[in-house]
Amino acid sequence: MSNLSRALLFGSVGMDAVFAFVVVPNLKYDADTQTLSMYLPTSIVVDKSNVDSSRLAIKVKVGREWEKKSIGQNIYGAKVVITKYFRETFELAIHNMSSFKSSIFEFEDEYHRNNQVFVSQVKKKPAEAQDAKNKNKIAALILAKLTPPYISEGHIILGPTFEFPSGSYSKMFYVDVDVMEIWFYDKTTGAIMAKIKREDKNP
Amino acid sequence: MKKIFILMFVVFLQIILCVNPSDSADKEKKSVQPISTSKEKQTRSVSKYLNASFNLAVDRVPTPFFGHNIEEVYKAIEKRKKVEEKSEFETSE
Repeated sequence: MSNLSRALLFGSVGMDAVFAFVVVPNLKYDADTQTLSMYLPTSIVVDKSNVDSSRLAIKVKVGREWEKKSIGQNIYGAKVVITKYFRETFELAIHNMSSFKSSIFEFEDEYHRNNQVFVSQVKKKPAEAQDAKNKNKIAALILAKLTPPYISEGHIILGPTFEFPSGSYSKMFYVDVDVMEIWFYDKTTGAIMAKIKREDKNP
Repeated sequence: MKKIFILMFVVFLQIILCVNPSDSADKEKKSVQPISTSKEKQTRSVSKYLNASFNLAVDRVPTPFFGHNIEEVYKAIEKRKKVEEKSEFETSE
């Protein structure tokens, strides 16, 4: 990897650059406290086909999506149309989650259990918060540096059954990073609303 | 003899003039191709994504801002890794 660290990847971006990835955050407003919570959900990292609990992923971009239909048959000869959905995503695999202990919360709803999210809160008047949420004005910026192994990949396969004849094949392409800061900003003005900084000293 | 030589010269000229237009068209085609290729390259290189390291010292995010293209970053590293991992007896391309 010695040459990797010296080589330019594209433009004037080298391996030691500060990378900035734009992500759409989830927003939740509490009118009683006039607090707007901005959070970034994470997901598990799958190393090939095994869960790697040392890293957490943030989805940045959805790549190709397509589907294939075929005829399936059970052991009794009954036939059914099977639909397979294929999806590629490009995600950040974050190595230094421990650097953000006080900004990460466990989030639970009917679909997600023990989901860890990055959270930042700002005070906003109800009309402003409503406008920001309805017009998707807020974006998150993940500022990060590459860390070995730099890239990795994984996949999740959910096979079809006769009762549920649809399967999915998700392929995740990870860029491995140490996060430096996370900014939440107003896309229309560029104004920075909040920053989440790493709690440990930068290496 | 002189007349025959002049006649031959005129015929030769006509042949050259007949052949030349297609030649020049070919040349035009050939000369046009690189221009269109460079235009394609221009459109490819003019990306909405960031092409340099991000400056952490800014107090405002540019608008509009798309940051780095994660797919481009992934593919660039993948390419570098393949070059790095190639055998010493293999050529790069």
